[in-house]
Amino acid sequence: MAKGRIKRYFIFAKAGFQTLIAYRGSVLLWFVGAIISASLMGLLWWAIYSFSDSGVIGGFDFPQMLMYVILSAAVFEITISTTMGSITDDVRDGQIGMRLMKPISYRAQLCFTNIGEFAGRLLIFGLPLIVGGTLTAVFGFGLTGIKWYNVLLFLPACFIALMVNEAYGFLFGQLAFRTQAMFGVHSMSMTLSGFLSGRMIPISVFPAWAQTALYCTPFPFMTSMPVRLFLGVMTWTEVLTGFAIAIAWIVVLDVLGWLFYKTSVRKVVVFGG
Amino acid sequence: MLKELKLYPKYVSMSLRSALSYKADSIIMMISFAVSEIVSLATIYLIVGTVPTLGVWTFETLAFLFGFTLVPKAIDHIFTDELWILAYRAVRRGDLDIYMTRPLNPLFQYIARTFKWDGLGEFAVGIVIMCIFAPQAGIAWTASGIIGLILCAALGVFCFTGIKLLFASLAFWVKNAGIFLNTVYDLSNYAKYPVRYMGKAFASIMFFVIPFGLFLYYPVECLITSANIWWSVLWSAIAALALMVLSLTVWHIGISRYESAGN
Amino acid sequence: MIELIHVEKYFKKPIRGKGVWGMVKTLFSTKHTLVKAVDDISFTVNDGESVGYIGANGAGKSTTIKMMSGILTPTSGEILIDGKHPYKSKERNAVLKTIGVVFGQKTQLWYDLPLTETYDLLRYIYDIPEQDYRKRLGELVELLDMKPFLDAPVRTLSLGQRMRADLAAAMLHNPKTLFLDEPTIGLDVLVKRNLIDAINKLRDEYNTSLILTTHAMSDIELLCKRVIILDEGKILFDGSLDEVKHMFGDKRNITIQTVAPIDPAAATDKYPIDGVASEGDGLLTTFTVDAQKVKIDVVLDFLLKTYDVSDVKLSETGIEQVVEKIYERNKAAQPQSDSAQDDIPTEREDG
Repeated sequence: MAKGRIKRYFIFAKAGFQTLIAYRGSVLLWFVGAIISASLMGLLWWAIYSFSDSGVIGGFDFPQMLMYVILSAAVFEITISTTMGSITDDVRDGQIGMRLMKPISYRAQLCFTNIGEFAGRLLIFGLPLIVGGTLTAVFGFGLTGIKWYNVLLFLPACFIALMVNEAYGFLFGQLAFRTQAMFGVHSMSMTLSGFLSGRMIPISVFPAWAQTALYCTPFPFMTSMPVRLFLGVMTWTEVLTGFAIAIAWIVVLDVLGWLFYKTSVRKVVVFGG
Repeated sequence: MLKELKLYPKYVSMSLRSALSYKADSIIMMISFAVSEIVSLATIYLIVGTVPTLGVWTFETLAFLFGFTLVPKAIDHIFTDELWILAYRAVRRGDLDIYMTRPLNPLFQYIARTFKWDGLGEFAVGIVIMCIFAPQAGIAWTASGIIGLILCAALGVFCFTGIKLLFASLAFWVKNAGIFLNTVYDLSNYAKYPVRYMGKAFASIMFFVIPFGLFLYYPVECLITSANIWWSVLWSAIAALALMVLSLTVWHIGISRYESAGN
Repeated sequence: MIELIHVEKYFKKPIRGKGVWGMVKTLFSTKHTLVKAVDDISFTVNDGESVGYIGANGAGKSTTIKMMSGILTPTSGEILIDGKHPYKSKERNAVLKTIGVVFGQKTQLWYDLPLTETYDLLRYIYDIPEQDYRKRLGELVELLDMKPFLDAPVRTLSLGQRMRADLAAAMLHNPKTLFLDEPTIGLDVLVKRNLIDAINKLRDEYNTSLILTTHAMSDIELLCKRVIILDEGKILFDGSLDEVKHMFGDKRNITIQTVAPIDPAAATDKYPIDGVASEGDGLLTTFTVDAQKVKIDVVLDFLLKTYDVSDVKLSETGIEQVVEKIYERNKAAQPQSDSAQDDIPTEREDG
């Protein structure tokens, strides 16, 4: 029983992995795109640092900031969730009815597809970018403070980031049952999470009140937490409480998404997907 | 060409009436654009706040620059939004088939089909931000400066369209050039920052390779530093001409090797 | 007049690996196979002729029609429509004004607007004088029975209505030639029949040449006198419909389902039956009969009376069977030159 179920989950994860690999051209272009945008952000910070008196901005010196930029780009590309896009497509193409009839729940299908893609992204995308980026920052710019255990903890932090992204996407994805304008919803949700998670600029650059407010939301766990963990600027207490709060947020987002989803499914039943 | 000009209002009216069925969608798009502009401006504010000065630039001047970059971007967005679909999936799905069986320029038919009125929101935001920050930006306003800036914005529209068409046309070779176009298009966001301080290599790229710096950043820099803005008008004109010629050439080569769908 | 002279069209196709590791390898490989979608085709269509272009999926028929209508450029060879090349930018517009195109799977109508809006736009695109347009639109609306849905947004039309509307759109400018690419795809029998009637009416009314692709032999029967059969990018047969019928007969399959296996001898002894096949442990039996030699209803009646039949299915011989027959015949005629078939690539164009 349990074994069969795990196998079914694994099939979706594998399909996710394979889909990702199949789009070879796109993957390569994502790769190039992410490197270009990380380099540009690095250049921008380099220009800003040249006007800084202390050489420290938001608690980071320039090599750290450079690493921050590279890592946040990598974390974004690795942990990006296709859930909202899938829901949008399924609703638009009328596939949702079929998906609901599959032997495992729609929620689990989406989630495990993402886990498979996560593995694919991490392997073909994340590793080269992170290794290359770290080597550049350490040997090219004199970055210090990277510890092996931080690098190791970075992986579960990325996985948590994926889960937060996925739950966030599922929640926003429910709008697909209610509006056609999912392109707008998608870009809005991405802009918001990009800004509030510390992907565009580190949260430590925000005014103090905004920082306090942001740490009461799930956003920092999408980018800021794994990146700062890798950089070794978090204390052990911060790391442990961070993990605990993040998991709590995943539960909260999933429950919210589930409640929302139940009303969505009712719409499918009424309108016949 | 005359036929196309005569037909364009007809296309716009059809597109607008089609869009009436999706009013709510357009409004969501406008809100989404507004959110992303606010976020961009906030990012600029936060970054500028981390250093005491930024050469000739202040938050007010950068905000003015930000407003200016939105104007040509918004106009291009209103007229040629369909090019994104070309980049992402039109070639793969064979969407161009029906346009190629009619005795009218296929590129014109394809682009004219969509008139994105929600881009007007972006346009308005740009103008409003420019108006708010123009008095605080310490610019010595002259008639020549204003005319020059308007001309630069107009030429900037052609530059945007040229860059979009150029990279969207790559879809004839790679089927999905969307990510490619996206990456290049995102470069325009960096023209909102002091391009000149971001290293010689990058500045050269932004001025001479993918010239967002030339037609977005440079005109405002001329105003801030009281340089002659007509130089930037000239450069924008050269960029617009070069980009249009190049992109139309690539489109023509591309469409002749169009493979339609199902291969 | 339409002339195709040694036309070829190749497509490049990336080679995709199998399995997870194969996909990883695909990421870094740039290998292509060259697919010959259309492989050295020549034929001529005279004004007013109706030609059915038939072949299995991937035989290259859509590719040919797309080259004739200006969408694709041939890799080599020449296509001339009244002496002009539809795919050359200078001659395009002149050619396109003389042809109309309908794709079964695509529409040229504006999705969210009433039909009349698209027609009005086409009036300008094709420079149709106002009076001609009014007259013609009136005729088409009458002929195709479009009055009931003329002012409804296209997205609310049924597939059959949409096809008729697309036909009208393609006929507005009075084209000399009408290209129809799989016009009956996805339509149920009655709607299909209506559409075919409509196409026939249009052709008779305006004396338009007709070139249509389909994979259903029955469509051709009702619409065309001349048939071109295509397989793997090559012309297998080009001749009259009567010739095809004469050569291959007008074969029908009668499949009966019985509760117990039967002995077909009772039927084969009594009627000239061309073939018997049985599947499903002898419970499904298919009798192939030639409709020109014996009446179907007579055989069917006999079968129903003789056997304990629980279900019946009538079907025509598919294009695959015809193609197979042609291959057999060609092989028998030229036993030495069967190598001609061997160089056909295994990959084929898909539609």
